[in-house]
Amino acid sequence: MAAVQRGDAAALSTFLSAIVPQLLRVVRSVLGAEHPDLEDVAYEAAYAVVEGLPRFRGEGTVLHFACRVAVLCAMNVRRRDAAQKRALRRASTELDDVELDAPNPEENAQAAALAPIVRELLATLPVALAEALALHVVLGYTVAEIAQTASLPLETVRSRLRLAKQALRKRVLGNPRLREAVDQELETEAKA
Amino acid sequence: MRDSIEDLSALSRRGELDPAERRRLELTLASSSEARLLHRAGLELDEGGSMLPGDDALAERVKRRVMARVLPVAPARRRRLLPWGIAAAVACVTVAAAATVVGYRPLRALFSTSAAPAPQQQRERAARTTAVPVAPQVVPSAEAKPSESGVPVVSTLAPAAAPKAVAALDASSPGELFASAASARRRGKAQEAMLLYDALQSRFPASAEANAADMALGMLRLQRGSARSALDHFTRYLSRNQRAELVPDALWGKAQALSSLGRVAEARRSYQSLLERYPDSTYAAAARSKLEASKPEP
Repeated sequence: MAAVQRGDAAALSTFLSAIVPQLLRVVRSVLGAEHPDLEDVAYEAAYAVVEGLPRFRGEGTVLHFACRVAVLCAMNVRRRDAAQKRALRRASTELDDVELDAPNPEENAQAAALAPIVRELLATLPVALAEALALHVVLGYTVAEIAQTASLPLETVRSRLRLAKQALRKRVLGNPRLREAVDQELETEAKA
Repeated sequence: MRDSIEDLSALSRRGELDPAERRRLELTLASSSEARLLHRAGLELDEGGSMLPGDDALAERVKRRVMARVLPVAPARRRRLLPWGIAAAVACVTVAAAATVVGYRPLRALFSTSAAPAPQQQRERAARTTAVPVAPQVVPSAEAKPSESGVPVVSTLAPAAAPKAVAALDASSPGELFASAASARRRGKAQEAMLLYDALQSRFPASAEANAADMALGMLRLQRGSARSALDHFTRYLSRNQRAELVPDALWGKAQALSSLGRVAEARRSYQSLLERYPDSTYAAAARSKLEASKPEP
């Protein structure tokens, strides 16, 4: 790490080769595979990781640190996109704009998926809850790992995850198609 | 503590639970709808966030961009290069202007962004950096229907994308069609990109661009859940390109498509082939992890 911070080209190259694929995966999970800015966001995240290394104090692994930076970068983009969409709705009710927001057949087909709902929550929940949700659901961290990576007490993490779970459930209940799919799944499990 | 549902869920996604913990997880999931939703969302994101064909090149580009930004050019070298750079830029502008005024075709072609088919290597690189795929009589996928000539033509284009794509379909060379398709993909217009790649393969089936288009179509269709079509593209690409630059991407894509289709044993063979032939590729670690996760129980 010291060599990377000194600007050693070989060390930086090795470091980036190791983390960029991971960052890409994280950014794709948060933004969705077809987001047009995927590469740019991964690039900004990788640059932020390198720039942030002097501030890394050894809580958890470097990879955890890097992935958290990527989650936060990607979440910012989602939140910015969501804000722009809201502003567009407020500014204009032109028919064309309304049609832009209408779900296309592909979106309808994906309506029974949870991932889009999680992504939407990452853009709309308070930042602290969204971060806890992202670290757990996107990165698959345990409570202790989230606490260590984000420098938070365990109870705070548990509390934030509990609130995030409630928000997720509320969103699912508000989506008839998704609720139906989940109910069917439950029935199948019960029969099995 | 490995008792909380969040911990059990996270460890289960990594394949690190022992049988007793797995049983505990199942019981908790059965009794809590919130826990079940969160766990299921995690599994979905694990699936969707895995590496895709083309990621190798994408990661390399990101790495180069960061290195260019972080590592400054040495001042002495910069001083030496600067006058040459300015001279070269002035020369380019002068020649391009002269070509435009005089109408000298070869020079115009040289400075055009869309003409002249690129050499094979450039096409391969373009395929990696953008998003390609297609081939001769490929993939009658859900969104394709036969044309009069019997070649599948995609017809379900979003209305907003139609005019641009339709205009691009008139391109006179495979290079132009390929460039239009790649541009559409970069702009996030997947449907438009697939239409153009399909048209490229239908109109110029023997071209190098059509060959490279198989990779892009495979990637796009895999991302959109058309695993069977994606598999056809990757398989065809591999059958025609034994040593091409994109073979690791194609092997990874093939394995992903097979996994999506539930053909686990075949997917494992593709991961193994990827590891044996390209042990240092960007996909190697992920392939090992997939093999470990799909290991048949004794």
